Amino acid sequence: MASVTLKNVFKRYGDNLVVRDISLEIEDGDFVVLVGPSGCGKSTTLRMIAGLEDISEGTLSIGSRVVNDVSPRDRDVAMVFQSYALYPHMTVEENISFGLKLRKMPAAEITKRVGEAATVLGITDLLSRKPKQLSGGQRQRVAMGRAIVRQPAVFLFDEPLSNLDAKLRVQMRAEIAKLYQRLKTTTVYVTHDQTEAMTLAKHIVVMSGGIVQQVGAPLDLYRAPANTFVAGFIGSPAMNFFEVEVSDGRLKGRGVDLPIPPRFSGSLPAQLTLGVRPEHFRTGGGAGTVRMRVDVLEPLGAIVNALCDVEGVSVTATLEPDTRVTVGEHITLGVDLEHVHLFDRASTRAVAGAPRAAA
Amino acid sequence: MKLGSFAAAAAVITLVFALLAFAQSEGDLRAHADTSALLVARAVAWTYAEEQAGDPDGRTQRLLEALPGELPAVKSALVLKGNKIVAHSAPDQAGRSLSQDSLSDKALYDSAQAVKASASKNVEERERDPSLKQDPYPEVEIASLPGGAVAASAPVRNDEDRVVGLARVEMAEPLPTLPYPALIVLIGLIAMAIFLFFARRSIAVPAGVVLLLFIAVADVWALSGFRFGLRRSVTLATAQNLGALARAGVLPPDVSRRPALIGALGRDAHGRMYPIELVDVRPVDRAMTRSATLALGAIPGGERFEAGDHEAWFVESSFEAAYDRDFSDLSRWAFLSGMVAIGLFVMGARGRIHAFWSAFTSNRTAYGYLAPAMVGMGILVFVPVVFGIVLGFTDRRYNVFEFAGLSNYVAILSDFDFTSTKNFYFKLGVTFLWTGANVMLHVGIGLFIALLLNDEMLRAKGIYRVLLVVPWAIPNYITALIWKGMFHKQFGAVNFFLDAVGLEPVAWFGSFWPAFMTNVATNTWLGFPFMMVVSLGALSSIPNDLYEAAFVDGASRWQRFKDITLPLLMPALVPAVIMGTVWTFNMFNIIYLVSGGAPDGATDILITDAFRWAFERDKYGYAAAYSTIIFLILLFFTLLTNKVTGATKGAFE
Amino acid sequence: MSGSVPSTATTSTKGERALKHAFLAAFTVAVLYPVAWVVKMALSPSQGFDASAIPIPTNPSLDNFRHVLFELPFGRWLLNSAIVSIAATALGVFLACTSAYALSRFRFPGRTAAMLSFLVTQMFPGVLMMIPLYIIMDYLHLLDQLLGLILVYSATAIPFCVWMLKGYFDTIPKELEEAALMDGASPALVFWKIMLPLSLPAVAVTALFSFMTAWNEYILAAQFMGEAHYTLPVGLKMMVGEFSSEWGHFAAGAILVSIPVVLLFFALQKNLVGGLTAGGVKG
Repeated sequence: MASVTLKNVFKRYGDNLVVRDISLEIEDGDFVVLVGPSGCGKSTTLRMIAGLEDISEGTLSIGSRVVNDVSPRDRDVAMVFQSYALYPHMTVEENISFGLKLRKMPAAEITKRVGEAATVLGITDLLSRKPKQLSGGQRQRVAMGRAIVRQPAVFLFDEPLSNLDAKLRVQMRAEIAKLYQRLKTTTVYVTHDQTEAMTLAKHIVVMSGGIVQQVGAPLDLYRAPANTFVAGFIGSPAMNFFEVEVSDGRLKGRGVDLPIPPRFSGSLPAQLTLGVRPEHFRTGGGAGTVRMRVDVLEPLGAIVNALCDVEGVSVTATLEPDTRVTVGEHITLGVDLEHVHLFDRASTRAVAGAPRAAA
Repeated sequence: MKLGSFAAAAAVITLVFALLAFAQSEGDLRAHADTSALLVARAVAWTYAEEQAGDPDGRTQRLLEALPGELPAVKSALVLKGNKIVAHSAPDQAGRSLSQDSLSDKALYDSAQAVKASASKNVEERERDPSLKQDPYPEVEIASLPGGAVAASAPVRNDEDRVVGLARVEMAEPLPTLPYPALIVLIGLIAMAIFLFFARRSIAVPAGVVLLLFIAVADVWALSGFRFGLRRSVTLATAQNLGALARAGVLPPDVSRRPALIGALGRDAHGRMYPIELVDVRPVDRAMTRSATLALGAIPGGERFEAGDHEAWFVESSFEAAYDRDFSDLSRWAFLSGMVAIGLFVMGARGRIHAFWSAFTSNRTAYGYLAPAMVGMGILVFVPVVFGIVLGFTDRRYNVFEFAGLSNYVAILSDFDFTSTKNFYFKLGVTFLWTGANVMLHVGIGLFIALLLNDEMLRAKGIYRVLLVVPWAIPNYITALIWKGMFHKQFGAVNFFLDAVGLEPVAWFGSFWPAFMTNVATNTWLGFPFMMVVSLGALSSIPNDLYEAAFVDGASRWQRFKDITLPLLMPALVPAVIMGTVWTFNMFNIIYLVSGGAPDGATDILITDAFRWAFERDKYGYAAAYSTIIFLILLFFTLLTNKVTGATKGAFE
Repeated sequence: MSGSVPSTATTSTKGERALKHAFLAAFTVAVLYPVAWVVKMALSPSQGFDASAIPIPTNPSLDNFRHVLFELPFGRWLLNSAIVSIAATALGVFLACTSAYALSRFRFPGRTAAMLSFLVTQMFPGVLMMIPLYIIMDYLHLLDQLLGLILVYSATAIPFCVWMLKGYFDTIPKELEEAALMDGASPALVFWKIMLPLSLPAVAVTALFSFMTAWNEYILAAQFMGEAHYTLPVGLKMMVGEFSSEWGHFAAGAILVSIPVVLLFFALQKNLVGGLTAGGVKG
């Protein structure tokens, strides 16, 4: 168990700067999820921690040791790959015990550890099979087993659930969460799926374009996104954005005319982006309302997502399941001004307002 | 930028010259060894002929026994007449008959027969075309033995000028070792180059300029001196051997027919030396040899001997001493190291050192993995090839390599007499025909059999597959010899079959088309299994669903084959066909061993012809140019097919 | 059932199968005829040709074999060939493996040039290299030394082997190696325990090709080796001279020489298809 610290880390491929100036402090026992769209540098960062990529600039420390030039085998980390990377010519048992055998562990100890890991993951009766005889979910467990038996200081997960079907993904997500509860090992997890991030992480690191956009607990990111990117990335369905300007003491934009939310009392930049989450639209009006035309309805049972159009801008609103609304209809929805967000349009940074009351 | 390119070009030219110098000096040494051995062989043959013409008094045997003492380089010498060794430098061997069981005896007998055959062919040729300047078929045989020794064989003629036997001499010239002074200079130059590599730019540039100047001077001086030096040393040694022969009282009178020798002596019945007419001696050579002196026992003193319009020079000094005085080695190494130093200097002056070094260290694992193979291939494949290409620009006349520029290429490519079977374009046509026929047959048969075998319900298909691979497994030179036997006119199996069926037996090696077919049949036999295996593999990787879908869509057997099987086979077949084409184009063994180019070289393809030019007609430069042309044809072909099919593009990812 | 199955590309009707068997059997017999002929010659005591095309010897005897094995230095030739072929195969395949691994897994300046050079050297006509090779080998004092042949054979085998092996290595996912690295394997162990076991078909095929090339090579061996170091092809060729031939002995020798390679072929032929299609023959 150890902490992982990155200080001003850069990664360059030729002239291409893939990771820029990342500094992260991951505490001992933390579960940190690196999340972001494809190409944002999260996998590269993970691989730098693993030792599979060289660090162009900056320092990486595991525990108190600077490990920039330490090879992966000496970093005491274990990794679960997206494609599981099981050795096809070895049985499950051999796969799991490979790393232990390399470290010259006594056979009795190996058998004990393999048995324990197999029990925890429920793969004990698969031990003598070869990977090609296993299903996707089973293979994923074997990959995790291989990482667990090493009892490393840090677990690294590289999009482990991306290759599974939806139902299995939900199942395995729970398994990973349970495993973490049990072992409490420092974990760094990479995914592009914000749902995984929200459900598994103690802390989320949102990345885009090689830069850290924001670090924080899941709900903190949800409630107080630092910029439009994080705001639009976290939360599903995604936040709606409107381009507005302050005019006559109100926020005005295309199809939008709202009072300035009371939280934002100070001076505001001239050009703003207004962010409203789909769940913060209300039927029944209110202090601020927006008129929109319903294009598509997605009845999901517990809620109804209405994909609407506000003068050319696509807007999603989440409504109660029994809301009476039809496609093509024009409706007027109220906006919960307590929970909207304002961002400086040029810098995309959030405008700070007075802290909210607990939502 | 301009300076860099200029320096790079200069470096390349320097390297080429260095290689040429290298080739030339090696060639000279070898040529010298050949000439000496041949001279001695001819001397022996002439002596024997003289002895037989008069009263056989055993002088040939005495000469042979004395030779190893007079000329230490001689290892053995013999005269073969018919089936019997009539004289031998080892007395216990003299007088014995050749034995059927000894392989070396068999080889000797074959040599004698070959020389005899060549001689009679030459007679025919000269009768046909009296204006012939050179004998088209070599009447002497020079074979290299391992360790630098040379075995020279010359024909023994009787007084009707018919070849009745063979005189064979084995000589081993001691090859020189690297002169130490040159080594020291070389190390010094390399050390300087390394210093430049790491020095700061401010030092590197002026130091580099100094080094460049030094090398330029050294090179110019060496260039002007080395050819003389080499020519001199070779001549010295040749003349020394001649002198030794003269001492032994024997010199072939027809030595003057061979150009580029300086001089020769004869001794008449009264023991007086007499000179032999010189041909093709150039002024510069005379100037060189005048500086040396010598005495040959009882010859009245003085450097030059004249009688009438004949002149001869005597020269002295041991072979090794001459070589030590020679600067050719130094020039060689100066060239090479100069090239290296220039290259490094250019890099240093342009400030690329750091980039190069960091690229090197950051990839050192990769380079480490790659290095052993590259070094091995560098020495044993690349250098010989470059060497070979350089050889193509030289011309080996009997004695020396000479820079010949593009004359070899011109000679090969500008001969437009298409009807002659010796013509390059004719052979090109034959080669294309050969390659095309073979590849089509290989693919046709291989694919056909593979399609038959690609049947889940066919029992015993495993057995067929294994058995049909056998032709590929058998060594191809064995296959060639077997098929050659099968096509034998009188005793071959093929003619027996024809006879059994009632057809006329064919003289397979008598004319072009039958001979060509023997080659194609043999190569097809051993070539189709490869295509069969590749096709089988590719066929088995086509998913069945495609056929089922097509079947449901209503496609017929033929349509399924045309639209599914064939297109999906292409990715695997195309590279195999390309490889097969290159292999067939260069398939030496079959042509050489089955038809042997019969009749009269007509079925020779380019590569066997190149071989013959090198090893049977002794024109190494010509053969090297020939081979380079072959290589360029293939290179062009590969690049072309790559562009069209993109076949190897994936492999470059 | 069999009659109602439609013939697709991989199934056939009974009638079709019968036809196929007839054709294939006849074809196989025709193809193997020369082999039978050689066997007949080997077992017939005369040295000329037998006046019949039937491949059955009239008075079979092992005389030819006896002569070849005991009266000619066959044992020495065999030893020389074996040493040279095995060593050249081991060396060539090893060097090719490491090079192919580097070309497959690493990206570095000069990589394309290296791959191009491996491709292009396969096209050199051997004749072009023979004279310069002779001179170089002489300089290195490797003429008439088995080591010289070994080095030349492995060097000439490398390009083809690298090409095939690299293609095969490319199909192995890089994550497997990364997982092994994470598990604690050193790069060398990754190569030995992961890459190689998974590449066995391709390695087997390249080893087979290298061995065959070395075992069957005639010209270079004839030029470079003296009598004490003759390999099997050179010895065999001497029996069929230009003007005098001993066909019986030659046939016996040919059979003895071919057996090892044919056996090797059979042993590895399962891998032949896999190695060829996934490797260099890949489109």
